[in-house]
Amino acid sequence: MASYLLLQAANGVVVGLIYALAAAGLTLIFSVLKVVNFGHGTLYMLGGYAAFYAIRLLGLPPALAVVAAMIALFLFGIAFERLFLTPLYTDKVERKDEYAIIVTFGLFMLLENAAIVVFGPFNRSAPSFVRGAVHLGVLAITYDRLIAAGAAIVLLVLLSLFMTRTMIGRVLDAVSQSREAAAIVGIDARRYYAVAFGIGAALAGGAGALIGPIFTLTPTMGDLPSVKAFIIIVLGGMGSVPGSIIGGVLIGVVEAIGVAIYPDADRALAYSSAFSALLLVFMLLVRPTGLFGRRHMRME
Amino acid sequence: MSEVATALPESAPHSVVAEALVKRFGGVTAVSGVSFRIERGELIGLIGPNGSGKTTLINLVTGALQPDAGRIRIDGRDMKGRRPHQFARAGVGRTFQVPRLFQRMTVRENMMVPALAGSRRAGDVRRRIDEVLAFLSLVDLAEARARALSGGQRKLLELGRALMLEPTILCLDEPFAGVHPRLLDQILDHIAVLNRRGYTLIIVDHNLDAVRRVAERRLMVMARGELIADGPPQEVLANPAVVSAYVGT
Amino acid sequence: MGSDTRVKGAAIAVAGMAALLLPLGANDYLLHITIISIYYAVLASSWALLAGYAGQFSFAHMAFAALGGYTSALLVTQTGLPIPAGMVAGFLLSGVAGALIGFLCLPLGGPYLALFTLAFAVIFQLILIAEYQFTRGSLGLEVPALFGGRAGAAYYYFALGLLVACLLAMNLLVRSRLGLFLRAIREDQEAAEACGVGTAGCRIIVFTLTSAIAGLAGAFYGHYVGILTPNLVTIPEMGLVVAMAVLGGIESLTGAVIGAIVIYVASEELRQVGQLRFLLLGAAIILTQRFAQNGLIAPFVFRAAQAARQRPKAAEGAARSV
Repeated sequence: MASYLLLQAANGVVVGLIYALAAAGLTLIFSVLKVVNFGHGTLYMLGGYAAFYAIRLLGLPPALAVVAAMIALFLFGIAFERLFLTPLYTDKVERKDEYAIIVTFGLFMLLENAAIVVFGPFNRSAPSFVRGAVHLGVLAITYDRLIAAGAAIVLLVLLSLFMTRTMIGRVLDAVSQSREAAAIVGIDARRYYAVAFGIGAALAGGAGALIGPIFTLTPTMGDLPSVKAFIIIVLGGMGSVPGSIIGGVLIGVVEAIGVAIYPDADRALAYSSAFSALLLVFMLLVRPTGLFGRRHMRME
Repeated sequence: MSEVATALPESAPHSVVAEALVKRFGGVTAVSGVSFRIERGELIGLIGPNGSGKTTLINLVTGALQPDAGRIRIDGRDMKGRRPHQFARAGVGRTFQVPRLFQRMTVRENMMVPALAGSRRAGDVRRRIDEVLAFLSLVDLAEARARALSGGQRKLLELGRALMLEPTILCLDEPFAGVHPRLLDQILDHIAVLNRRGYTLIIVDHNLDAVRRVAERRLMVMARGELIADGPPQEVLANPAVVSAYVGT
Repeated sequence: MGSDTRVKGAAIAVAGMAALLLPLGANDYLLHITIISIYYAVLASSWALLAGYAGQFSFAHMAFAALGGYTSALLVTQTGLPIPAGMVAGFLLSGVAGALIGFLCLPLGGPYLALFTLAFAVIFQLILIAEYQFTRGSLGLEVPALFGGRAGAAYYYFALGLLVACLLAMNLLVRSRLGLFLRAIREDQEAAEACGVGTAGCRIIVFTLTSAIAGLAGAFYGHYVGILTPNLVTIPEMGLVVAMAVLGGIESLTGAVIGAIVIYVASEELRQVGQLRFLLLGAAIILTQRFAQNGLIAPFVFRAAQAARQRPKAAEGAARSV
């Protein structure tokens, strides 16, 4: 039993890291644009399908397919932001909070149903990165999971480096802390919103592409992960990448333990998610800004 | 100008006591160890260079922010943990630096919000609104939408709205900013009248001349989050610390 | 002023007559469509009150409907409670759930409520599926019918009564002191606080009321259709209601009602194209928000009302000039 739990926990860490990657994208979008992206789960799903078709139609090797998916989602994110979120920052929109929630929710409906129509509602399997598994004593973890976890870690590290070492990253970081302060230093935050949204979308897409070989691809595969991502960013703190990582791993492990405790798959899914939500409730009661959260959410 | 609506009942005891207030934002300490006592009916000017923490202090006094340390007493009541609307009901009225009106609502509706938030009967509310509108010469604009008002009219509406709650303490944040001279005189008159009727007033502004014209007895000066001077204007303005704080900007 | 209310009264009277006489001329299918549209109209208008008027975004509206529905169904079948009592129980339980969630999330600010209610809805659906000893999961829970036999007309009048009652209640709220406070909160929450409005309390009250209304609608739905499934709580269902309110006009209860009827009928007509209709709905939501934030239908209603006000004046003017 103990080894089973350990195996589950290990799987949980892997999945958690991928959730963390998606959550990092969500938290970046939130901290720079002050918008909660309700369409984030569908961006994750699109990443999975983008990689799948990159492999099938373009013949790319799986690793490159992940990169291709991220690039595609980056461009999509920029386009969506320019077309539909930029009006938020002019005075054309009267009720900004409402606009952001509704438009991103509309994106969710549009993309998910477009996926059902275009790709079909049935499950697909994405090809493995590397077949086989590694055996550490009693534990057996597939290479796919290891590679996915490793790639997630690499991407998260790259993200941190990007935010702290590069020019654009530091600008985004400054804007995320205070739009006014950034303006005083001469930064026009609006120019960077598209980039931020694009990066957030790319991170989500990357997560979806990485998880493709592990679970199946379906148009609704992003629904539950997006809820998890929301829980993670509140737990970890809105706008905090380290918070997303810790939150992600926590949620992943909780989910995995849930699967171990409940033999019934439906129950396992329902109650592990419910437990994550209870963690969310607890956090909202005790420390609403989350573990590493900076500030209260509001449209400035 | 109606005396009735804008005069205070004799029995209202009021004062503001601040004890060692501290407020931090991230790494910045906006207010650091500020203490003062304000007695009923005082009219105080609060001045200081940009970023000295004046607005943050007003936010603390009106409950818009909670202090990280120290406490505020209004009429002797400890306001720790109270929400802004509870400060408002305790008698602390405020205006904002940039008027925050209910844009799509009419002038009258803007005034109705605080009036109804207090425990007033409907009949009284209408009469009182008319009186305050008359006091501020805004009667003609009663049915106009707030967003259609000029800058000066907005300032007056802000003031009128604050008066509707029958506050005992009024904090005016930059009431003279961006106001042209004729309206400035009008506002100064209103402030003087309110003070004569017993309101306690704290006036924050950059316009030193205007502040001096009303705050004849007491000036508080803030710099870098600290209260560096508090007393009669002649003394305060001669204080070398005050002079250097201003010269430094 | 007098002519304005007269026009309004006339419009309501005509609509009312048409509504009351409908069952005489309608076949079963049309009646069914109308009843379901009314169900959605109750949901859309209550959601619009919460989101548009009070500015609070809840994605748990359908979950509250399902909560009300399952509560009533289970109470009636397990304890023999009469159906109307079951419906009241559904109404109350959804209200209580709304109050609890409201207490938790509303003091925190907009996006928190949206996030939490989305999570709540998704997880509630999962639980409904998982606990199939109670709920029969995806197979669906059979629900005792409110009226026996072929009672289409009876259901129709009941639904109509429900809609009218809910609209009246919501209108009362809008015209009350609370309605004014909600508008102020929506304009500028901090300024409202500075004016003495207890914003958290106001929003919790609205959230509780609209959740209860959703619960009542769900209970009616269960006892009409005869079966409840977790599909009631899916995201597309919630999206349908969002679209109805957004396209109808999120700040207008009338707009939301009309939007509900129009969109439901359209989506029924488009059933052949399958999921495409939800895709179109998503696109419609995005485009309407971007280019017509006040909705597509409400502006017409508003302009018609204004035109009605202008015409008597023009007539007066013409008369005077003669």
